[in-house]
Amino acid sequence: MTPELVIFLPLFGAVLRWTVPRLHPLRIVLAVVLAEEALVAFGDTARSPAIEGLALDPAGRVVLAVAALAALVVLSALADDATTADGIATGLVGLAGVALVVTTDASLVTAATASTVTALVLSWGLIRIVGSGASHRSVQRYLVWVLLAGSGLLFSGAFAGLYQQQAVPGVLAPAAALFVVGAGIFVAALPFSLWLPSLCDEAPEGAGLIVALLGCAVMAILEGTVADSPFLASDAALRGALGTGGGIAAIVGSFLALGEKRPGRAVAYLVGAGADFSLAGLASNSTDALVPALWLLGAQALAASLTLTVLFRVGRAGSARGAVSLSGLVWRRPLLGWSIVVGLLSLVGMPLTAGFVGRWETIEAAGWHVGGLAIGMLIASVLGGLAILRLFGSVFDASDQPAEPFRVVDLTAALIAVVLIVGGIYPWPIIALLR
Amino acid sequence: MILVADALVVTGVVLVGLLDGWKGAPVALGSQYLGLALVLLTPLGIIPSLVEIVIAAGVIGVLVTSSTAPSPSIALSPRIWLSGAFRARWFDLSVTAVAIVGALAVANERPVFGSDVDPIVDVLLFTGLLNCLVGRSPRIAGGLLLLASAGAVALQAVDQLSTRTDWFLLAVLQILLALALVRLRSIEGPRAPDRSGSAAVEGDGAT
Repeated sequence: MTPELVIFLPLFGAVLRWTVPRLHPLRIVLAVVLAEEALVAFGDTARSPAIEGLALDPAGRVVLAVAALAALVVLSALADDATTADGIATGLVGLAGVALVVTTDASLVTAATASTVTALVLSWGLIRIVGSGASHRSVQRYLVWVLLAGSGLLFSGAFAGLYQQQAVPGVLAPAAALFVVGAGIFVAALPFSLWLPSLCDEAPEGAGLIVALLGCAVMAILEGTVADSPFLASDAALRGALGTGGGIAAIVGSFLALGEKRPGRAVAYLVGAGADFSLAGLASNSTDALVPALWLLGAQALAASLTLTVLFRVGRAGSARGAVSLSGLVWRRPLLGWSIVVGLLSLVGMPLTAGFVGRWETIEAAGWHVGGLAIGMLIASVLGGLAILRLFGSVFDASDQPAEPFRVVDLTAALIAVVLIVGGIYPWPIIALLR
Repeated sequence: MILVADALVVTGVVLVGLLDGWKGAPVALGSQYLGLALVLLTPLGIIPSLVEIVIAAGVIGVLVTSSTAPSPSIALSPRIWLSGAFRARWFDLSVTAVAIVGALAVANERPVFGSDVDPIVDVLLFTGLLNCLVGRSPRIAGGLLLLASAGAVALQAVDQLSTRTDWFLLAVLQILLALALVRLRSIEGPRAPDRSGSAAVEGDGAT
């Protein structure tokens, strides 16, 4: 029953939110996430007897746990304010979509379709805030890109299926290319991340949820697909080129983040750089680099949801939506301030964070196959560090403002920060599960 | 029958390229879906064709019942659909024609699926991408739906929809996409400048 329950539990939470508005949204969020984590930790691993094709394997549990945690911090921030609490139902349906991707990741077609459906569901939350947050143009751009991603993955699945049936020549290369493009768009890897910066700037809460959930969906697709795919393990020269190209794109992303003046857009470029490294490592040495890629994407999902949620909360505290007030955050709201610091350090891959572990493991697995990947990561981390210092250093500024009252989102943000630090110090149990 | 089906699909994608507002979207996409249902009937059988008809009904139903007018109503009169729905911009028409010819050439040179669906998939893919990249909102919406149709037909052609979950998700994807697009349209409508008197009455607006 576990595979069905992990899907229907968030759906039930969403229905509850719609039908019983008096029920505090935060309670629904906490209940759903806690139950989801409990199912992931203690549920069985059998295939679903009722619904064809559903199963939950150990790696899928890790992915789902990450998705639930990332959703927790964003949804707790939304629940904190009556004007944004309507987005909780959409977020819970999105979490159910990711659960569907995780439980169907053995089939690229099913997982890709479920991922695209999840992306479309999440767009609903963005559409709701057009005018007061996200612009119409940004949402439209997002819809176009996620449909391109979904179509790419579906065609990739079609070509792979065709090859497995008939060994038709000349379909593996398009299948591989479309897979890389589709996955790259969903994880916002440069240069496929054109839809993300404006969203992070205009609607950081929506962007945080989208980056986290779609990143987890791609983790599930990679975990379920890469080992068996006929098109991702051939041609060493092509793999090397993809790896090098990904490394260069990551450096470019870090440069763009350094040049940005708006914090949300800088976070978007850092997310893109991290995604580039994970896909570059995977492309260069697909067998050994799968677990580091999954780890890096998971750390990215948590860090992005954390930092964008904090930007959303401090932005709403400002005089106008989008006016971010980070000055003295660690003194005004210590939990929130230190949490965003940890999240940003993880995004750029600083030591003692989960992001660093992912990058280190990627270099160990793929560094021999791609010349300059290690140096590229170092350069990108330095550039990213300078970017966050320039844009977010003000969190440590002395502030005359009194300490703000404690909110639940401070606690959930601190929880994610602790997870990122624990993941950076003692990652081996989770890595063993992913393997 | 294949020729008729192909002609319907080509007519549909040409009309998507000529959309002047949202009014003509149901007609353009309806033609395309009807053609797809006929295309799928011959090589793949009645069930894929019926599924395509159900999806078409869902998408067209969403488009027809959506309205930016204060009193939403179902516009069933063909005069409402066709009057001012399309504008023959020769540049757009020529670019669409180039895309269609190119798609047919690719399908002829390198058939992938080995059946009658190759030309249709390529036409939908090429014109869908074209409309997504260069069109205004109605054309972008049409282009996205064409892309989704292309993916669905390709998967059915290689028999990759092996479970009921796959069929269901594919149908949900296309209908959800239509819902998202019309919802976005309803927000765009009041803000965008309208281009003509009829467009203002219908609530359409070009971005």
